[in-house]
Amino acid sequence: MKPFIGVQELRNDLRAKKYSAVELAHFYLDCISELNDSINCFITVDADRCLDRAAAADRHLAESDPQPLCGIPIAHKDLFCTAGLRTTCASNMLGSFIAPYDSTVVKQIAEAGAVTLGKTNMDEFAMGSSNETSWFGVVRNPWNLSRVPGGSSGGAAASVSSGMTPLATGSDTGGSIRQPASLCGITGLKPTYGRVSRFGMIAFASSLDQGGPLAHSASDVYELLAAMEGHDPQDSTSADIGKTVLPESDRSFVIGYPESLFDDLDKNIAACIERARQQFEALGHRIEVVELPHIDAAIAAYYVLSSAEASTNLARYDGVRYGHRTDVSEDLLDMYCRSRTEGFGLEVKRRILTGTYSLSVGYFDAYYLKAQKIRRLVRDGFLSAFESVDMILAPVTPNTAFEINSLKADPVEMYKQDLYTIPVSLAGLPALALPCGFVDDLPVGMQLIGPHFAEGEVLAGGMAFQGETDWHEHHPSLESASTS
Amino acid sequence: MDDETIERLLTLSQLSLDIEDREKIRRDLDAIIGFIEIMDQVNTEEVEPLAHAVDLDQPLRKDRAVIDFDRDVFQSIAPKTADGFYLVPKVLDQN
Amino acid sequence: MSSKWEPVVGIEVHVQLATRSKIFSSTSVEFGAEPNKRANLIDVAMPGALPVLNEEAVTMAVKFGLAIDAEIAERCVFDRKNYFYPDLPKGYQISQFESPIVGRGQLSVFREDGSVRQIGITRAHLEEDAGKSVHDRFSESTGIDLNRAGTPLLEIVTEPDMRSAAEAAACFRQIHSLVSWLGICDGNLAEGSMRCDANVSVRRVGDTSFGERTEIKNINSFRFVERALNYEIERQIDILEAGGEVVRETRHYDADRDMTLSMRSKELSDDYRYFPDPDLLPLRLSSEFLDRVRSTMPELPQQKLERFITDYSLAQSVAVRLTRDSNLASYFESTIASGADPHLAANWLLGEVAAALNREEKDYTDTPVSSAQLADLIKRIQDKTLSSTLAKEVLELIWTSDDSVDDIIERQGLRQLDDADEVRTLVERIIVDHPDQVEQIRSGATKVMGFLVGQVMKASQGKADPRQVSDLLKRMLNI
Ligand SMILES: [Mg+2]
Ligand SMILES: [Zn+2]
Repeated sequence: MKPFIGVQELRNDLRAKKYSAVELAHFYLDCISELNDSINCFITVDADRCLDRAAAADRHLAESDPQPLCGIPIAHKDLFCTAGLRTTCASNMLGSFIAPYDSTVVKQIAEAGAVTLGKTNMDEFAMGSSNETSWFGVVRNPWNLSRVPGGSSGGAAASVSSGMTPLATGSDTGGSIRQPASLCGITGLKPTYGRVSRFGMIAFASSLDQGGPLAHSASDVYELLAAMEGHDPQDSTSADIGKTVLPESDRSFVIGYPESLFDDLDKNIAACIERARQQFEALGHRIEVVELPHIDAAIAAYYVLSSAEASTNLARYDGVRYGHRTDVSEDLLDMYCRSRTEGFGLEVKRRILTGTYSLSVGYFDAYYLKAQKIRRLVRDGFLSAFESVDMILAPVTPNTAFEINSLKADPVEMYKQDLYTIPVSLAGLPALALPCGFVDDLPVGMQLIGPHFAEGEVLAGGMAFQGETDWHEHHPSLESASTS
Repeated sequence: MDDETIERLLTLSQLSLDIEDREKIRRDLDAIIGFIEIMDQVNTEEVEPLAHAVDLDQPLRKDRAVIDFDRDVFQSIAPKTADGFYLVPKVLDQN
Repeated sequence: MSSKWEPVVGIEVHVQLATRSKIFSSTSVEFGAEPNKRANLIDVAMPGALPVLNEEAVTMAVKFGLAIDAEIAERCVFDRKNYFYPDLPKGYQISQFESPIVGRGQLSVFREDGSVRQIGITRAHLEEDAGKSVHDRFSESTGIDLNRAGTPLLEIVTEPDMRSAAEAAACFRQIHSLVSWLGICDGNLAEGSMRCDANVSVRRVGDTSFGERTEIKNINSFRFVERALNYEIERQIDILEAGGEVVRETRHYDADRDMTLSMRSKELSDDYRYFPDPDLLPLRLSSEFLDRVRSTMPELPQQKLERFITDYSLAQSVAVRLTRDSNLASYFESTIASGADPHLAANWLLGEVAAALNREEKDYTDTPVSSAQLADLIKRIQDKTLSSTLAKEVLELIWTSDDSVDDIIERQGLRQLDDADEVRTLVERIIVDHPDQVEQIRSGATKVMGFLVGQVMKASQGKADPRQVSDLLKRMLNI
């Protein structure tokens, strides 16, 4: 057995009985015990039940028609509720919260036969771009342990990147799958808003949150998406459309190139994407320059809207029915206030206060409504670009993984990390982040952005690219991470 | 951002901050508000606000009642319960 | 009340809709379950739980809108109203703020005398109810029961169109009658199925602007609405006459002391930070949906009332009383369909039957006498087999048995005396037995006539027809 195996190969090996699902689970669990202390991607490892489920998978594998992901290990971001296994959202507030139910995503993936290894670290309540706001400590980038893995799905991205799991779920509100995937050199997809059920996925900003897959390649991402997606009557915002379908493999695309986005971009990163652009052309796709308006205002609008939604989504954490409650309190209000103050970290408080501010009497029109109007302009900008192109090629991050603690003191600088991912989130579009090079031994990513529900096309674009390149097959050496 | 505004936001949010955090948050909020004012540069006259990016309509659920949960399991994770009630510090009846 | 002052009242009624499940979750709304046994993932606001709107609640709101001839929004939005309170598990209530499902409409409020007053309905919107806080059960704590949390409510808001406490109570009663009629609320005030808030101010007669108002919250009976408002109107007038100012505030009606009291705000803030709930998409109602609801609408009280007046030539006031309750109205119609005379049927239903139901605290849905039985009884009055006195006796008997009206008449010998000779003999005897009274009548004291009729009826054991007796007496005494 070796790390970094893709789904297709794992499936073939399991069915050919080269190893059992139990052996495979042991392999990954060992890998976690070896690496997790230094990388800190898992908040909770569910070893016993993982092995039980692997044993059950082995029984299925003995049958004629095992499920698509039968016996393949997976790690869930710690905001997907898992019955009987704690779900913390990387917050002291939910530090010992055991949800009485499985989220739809977790349930569907289990039905597809995958075996849960544990729950991955993240920014607290998914609020962050560096995984430094977790109550359970910072996650380290497997390529360089002094660097951040990105966030908020930093644990998910680092766990795949370091080979602790072949597949991981994440969630993306303003870039939280794409940015860490990019900084950790793996492939991740933010699906169209409504493609993947939000039921049981603990909310940050409901109109933006979307669960999605992280893996080593676009084809693995597709495999996991197939298990995650689908209409869910328990989520009113879930789209009632069919499964993602890949287009014909020889289809050539018109790829939009938003040139003005590259003006302020680090030259080395721009060079990686420029090279990718040429590779697409060499593959027979056509490049067309497009304009994306209001990108700068989009970040501001995003922070207003996401904070506003978060401020009320997090009002349910009051210490009454679950979650942290303070030990001593004078009265009800004091109990609320102490429980919440003790339960939430500073970044979460900052967003709650920002959101409360923008929804308050007197500020609502200037902030919240204005932001919703900009949201429309941003979305319409994309929709008109998609009248002439099939997808858009864009950067994911303005820089490679940065030093831990380097941006922590300046929230606005930190928010600007999401400059390229946020407009896509506001527009609810699908976007695939995938590796396209290295700068100073750190991975660089790019994203392929599609029209609503065009996951099939952007995945096909990614698969075509990965068929010709091997950036996704580079893996960190992990020498300094190993503890054994 | 003045003290009164911060105090009001804290009350509305049921949060409190020690002096050090309060100063930090004040600086951050000032910076964030300065930063989001970039929105003013965009002309949004006659632009309708957009709440969801994908044009979907609200689905409706059939009116069927089911019991699919166990109160004891729910209350096993609650900080304080008795006789099936969730308990909070005594609220004095206002009337 | 000093006549210089005019009260101005508007009400807001929260109506619990009679769905099977909650507005945003599939938990049963059944009343009276053990605490928190009707509170699922969504109702306790478990992290990750999401609301899904109940179609029936929407249908019921639309029915109300159609009944008051209101604009039904083609597109409406659900908003979050944010505040902390322990019986509000999400920290916000899902309600409708900017765009309610039902817009402006008109409610016809019928007065006792049959006259009608139009009250403007500002809007009606869907929202979820909160849970309950129990303060007296635990010594150190307040208990929270979320069974009621998420029960669908239709909040109906009227214009400030009412000018007296009685009018406001009549409006509340009319809303109660309409929502019960439509079958969208069980109308059970004792279980809190309807709660009324009243906004009240007073102004000098002739003023066109409004005075400062107060809001009286959560009044749960018609009588209390009237009493609370009367108290509050007097209180405000006293303040103004003493040169003071009414303070805008929320008050509570204490029924035991029959007074309103200032209520310290239950909620933490008045800045509710309403905004569209991002968990719910805009609700669009297609014309097909509206047509479907329209096709299930019952005949409305107003329409039925007009039809009763034209078809059965009933008096307006009688028709109003018959159409106040849909069960009564349909009972009336099936009694007529079984061949009863409409006037007699109306008199009996609103008189003897109503009184009997009242004594037993029953309503028209559980009358022990079927409409067919009642029709048989009335037919026997029409064909003079029964006098009204006898008919009352028969009614009592069919109230407690399933026997037919004719069997009872036969068995108990309750047939009215139709033998003219027999009646004449009785009348002659009474004239002979009461010479003094006869003398009085002859000298002009016609009132004594009633006494003689009574004596004859008594002698006949109620079987004589009083009108026939009276005619006979007059003829025999030559008056
Ligand atoms: Mg109200
Ligand atoms: Zn209300």
